Amino acid sequence: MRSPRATDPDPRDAFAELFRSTRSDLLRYLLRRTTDAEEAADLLAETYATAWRKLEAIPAGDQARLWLFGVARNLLLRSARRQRVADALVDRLAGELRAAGPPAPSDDRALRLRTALAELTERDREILTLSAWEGLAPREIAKVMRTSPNAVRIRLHRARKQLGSRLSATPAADLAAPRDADPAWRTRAPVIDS
Amino acid sequence: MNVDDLLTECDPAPAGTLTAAGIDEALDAVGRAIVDSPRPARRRRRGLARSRRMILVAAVLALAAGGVTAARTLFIPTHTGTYVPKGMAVGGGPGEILRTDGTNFHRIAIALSADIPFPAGYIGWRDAVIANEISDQPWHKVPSGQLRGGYAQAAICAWILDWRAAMRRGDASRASHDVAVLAGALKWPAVTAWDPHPSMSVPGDSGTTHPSEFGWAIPYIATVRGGNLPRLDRLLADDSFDAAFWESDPDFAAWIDRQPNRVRNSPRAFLRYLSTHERG
Repeated sequence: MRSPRATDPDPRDAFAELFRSTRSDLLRYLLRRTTDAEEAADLLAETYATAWRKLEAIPAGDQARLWLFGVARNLLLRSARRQRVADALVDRLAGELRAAGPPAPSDDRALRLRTALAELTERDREILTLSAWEGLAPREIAKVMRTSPNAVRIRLHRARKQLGSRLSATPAADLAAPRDADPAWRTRAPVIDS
Repeated sequence: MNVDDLLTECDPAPAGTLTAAGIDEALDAVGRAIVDSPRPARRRRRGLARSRRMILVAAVLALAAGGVTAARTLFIPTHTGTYVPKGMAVGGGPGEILRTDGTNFHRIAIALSADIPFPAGYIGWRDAVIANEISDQPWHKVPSGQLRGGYAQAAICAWILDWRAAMRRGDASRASHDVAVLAGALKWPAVTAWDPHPSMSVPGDSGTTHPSEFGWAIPYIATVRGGNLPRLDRLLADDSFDAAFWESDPDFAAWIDRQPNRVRNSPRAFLRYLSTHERG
């Protein structure tokens, strides 16, 4: 994957290639962390619009995908405090996502997992899910979260244990939908400039 | 059930979803709208102009001081003379803070690793540690203890993989040498400066425990010393204790870059790579 550069004769082609090769990963990342398709679609558009404005900052190669995860993460952290800007194209994408059906599993174990995840700190939750859902290695997670790979390894190990102990401590009758009930799901960590 | 397996099973947006043609078309439309929107004009940065002026001033001063070439005025020293305060080293490594964008960073980094042995055939791993540290430090600074710790981690991985390769091809002499080196690895100064007492279990938050900086190596080294090759492969397959061997291997990095898009760094991919790239 070649990253676009502002000095390219026409950076639109390279940007379009970057968009095509990363959009599914970014869309999944956002769907996993938002409450509805509109919000995910809106944040996806905002992520790439930010990237388009900051072409000079996009790193080369596969690092571009990690950089986009970082931008999306920052927008997610801010999204609770911003008003959604209505846009016909974003609405169309949200409509298609809704029509495709909500993929989130809603059985007892999934609810139990969401409850336990919501009890972790935002950083621990993000490290765990970047590893399990996005399939990122500690070194890649470190780039998204701007920390050291060693710190990620230690936190990942600790977060797995914490999640495990919370899962075993969560009674089945005490299940709630934490992402809807607890806005802190996305807003505990400080905002980092992208 | 394993926590990672449960997370994977309950992935809200698993691979294979979002494949409807309508989603692709809607995404295409969003992408087109973004690249058709105007980008802000590039502004001249005051900081950049100022730094250029500073370089010119430095060059003039250097020439006036005795014929030093202008090129040498652009030299960025790696050493900063600033040290990580005692008690703050855990998680970031101890020692002098070095500039990874320093002109002589590579030479100094190689010199810093001189006492850390690597097995024959792993010569490229030293450069890989340097490249990783440079790319990992957005502020271009790394404590020397962290750099040496990075070398030690890579070296321990290298000796373990060398033992694995020696065992698989029946080279008892080399395997024995690898075991001897690994037996003392957790006493290397590069290890003890950062992690004086490597442990599998140090207290963390909320009553939990986790391995210390080099604690991950303890079960791997014990497995090698016990001569248990199948167990080593199980540890590698599970990436037990987040050892992340593949991160140290520049040949694996090159191999994974040649794989189709969906192949990502993972313990399984690394084992697949090892099965077709025996060393020794």
